[in-house]
Amino acid sequence: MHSQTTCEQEKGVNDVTCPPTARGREPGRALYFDNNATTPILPSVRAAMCEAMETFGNPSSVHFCGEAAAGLIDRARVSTAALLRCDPEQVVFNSGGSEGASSVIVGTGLAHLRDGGHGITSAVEHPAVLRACGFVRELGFELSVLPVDGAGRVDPGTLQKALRPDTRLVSIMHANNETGALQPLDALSRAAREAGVPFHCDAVQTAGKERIGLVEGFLTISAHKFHGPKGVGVTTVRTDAPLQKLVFGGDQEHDRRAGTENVLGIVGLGAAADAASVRLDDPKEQIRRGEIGGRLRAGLASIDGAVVNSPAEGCLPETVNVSFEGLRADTIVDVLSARGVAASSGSACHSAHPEPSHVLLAMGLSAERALGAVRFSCSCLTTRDEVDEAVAISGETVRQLHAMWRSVGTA
Amino acid sequence: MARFSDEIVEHFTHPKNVGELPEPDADASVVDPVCGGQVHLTVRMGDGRICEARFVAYGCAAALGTASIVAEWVVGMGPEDLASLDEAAVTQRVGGLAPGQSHCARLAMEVLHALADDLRTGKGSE
Repeated sequence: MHSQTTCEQEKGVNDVTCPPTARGREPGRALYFDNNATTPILPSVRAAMCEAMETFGNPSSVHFCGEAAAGLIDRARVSTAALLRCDPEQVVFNSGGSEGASSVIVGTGLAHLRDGGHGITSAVEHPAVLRACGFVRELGFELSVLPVDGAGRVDPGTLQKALRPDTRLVSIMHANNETGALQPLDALSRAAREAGVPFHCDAVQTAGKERIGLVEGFLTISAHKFHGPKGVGVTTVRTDAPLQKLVFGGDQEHDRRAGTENVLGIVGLGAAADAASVRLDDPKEQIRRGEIGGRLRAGLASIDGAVVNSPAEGCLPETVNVSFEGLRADTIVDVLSARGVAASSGSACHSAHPEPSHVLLAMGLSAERALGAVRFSCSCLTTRDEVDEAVAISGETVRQLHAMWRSVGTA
Repeated sequence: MARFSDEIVEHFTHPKNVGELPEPDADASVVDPVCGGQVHLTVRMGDGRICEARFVAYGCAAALGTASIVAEWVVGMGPEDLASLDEAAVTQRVGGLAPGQSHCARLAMEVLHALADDLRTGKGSE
């Protein structure tokens, strides 16, 4: 059953308090714009999990304590299936997106270990997918990494050309975690289906925001990206393609993933799925998210030297990836954080030497522009006032940083 | 420990003495080719000691905060004082540096020593 909770009702209870370093905003609320990294838990999710704490039984136990716990999982499975529009028995609970991707990619590789073969992915995937593919390649499989266009999208024609008789799996994400760019999922999955190749979609960033049209193959989501708890996710299995399970023990999850279930996490995921289904069916919420995202994008684009990297069309409105000419994203993110604005640098920052994002480089951006890329990401809790304030603080921060190092290099 | 000391946060959110002095008595620039950090210091002297300093910098937030602290710190120092400062002294003055930020102390020390050299042999000693 869907809860009747709306985002408006949820607001106010999830206020994000400032970290100690957010001295510019004490004692007010932080401005949280890193929802692609993780989202606050909704009150309805928290309530469901708190209630479930009373139910301590092992879902595999045959007695009444076990039955109660199994009942909670069954309900969450139905909620998740409703969100993803699949059958409940196609839902496999796991620990999140990384396990989901590994279970499909590595599991497919292991299932074909004796006959070998070929896999396909794209250049803009999350490291969970790319590194799992890299591992399978080390097992002896061939791997095609498809390029993307300037918007970060894979051309379905390119996929068609890359498919081979021995292709075992295609793994391409739905929405990119760094830019929000949506892949042409229907065309890509159709191309794989017509070639008789199973398709895996990393839909971690899409779940709870967009209806996902994948009807066959594998699909992976993670609860904490849509206001659920961390450490729990789902992979839907809508194919009978060979798949070797990776976790051994009992026959939980229809014998696809062993281990005593994370009952609390699964209950939280189910409650988050209920809330997400309400949002997806609410036309006003769909309009609202577009308005909030559009306001954020326009505001950031108006800052001196800003260049938006997220495509204008075919993109999650919640995600705005923007480069600030001549500035370093890691520095901007640190200064914003000290001022109470949580955003993310598009680069992977290792010690003193930040690395440009592989996603932005694959889109053809220069390393300098990629190193200046900051990601702002909203959720259903983000308000118009928060957007305006974050944009104002970002503009001031960028102006200050420009002033601080304008002369360097000519000295 | 926290990624940044309170002092560094204060200075990179509210940098002090930003800019370049016109016709300074001495100046120094250093670049760290590994981290890409850059600092340029300009100073004015009075009675053999620094009476005014300005900085411009490029780099991570810790490098910017450190540069701002240094520009404040050097006022009142002479060339021998600058030359005696090492990375440990800088680290202590900025309230500590997290792992991965030691390059900020090195950058600061190098610009302080370069400034001392300029004061001894360049415009500052004239």
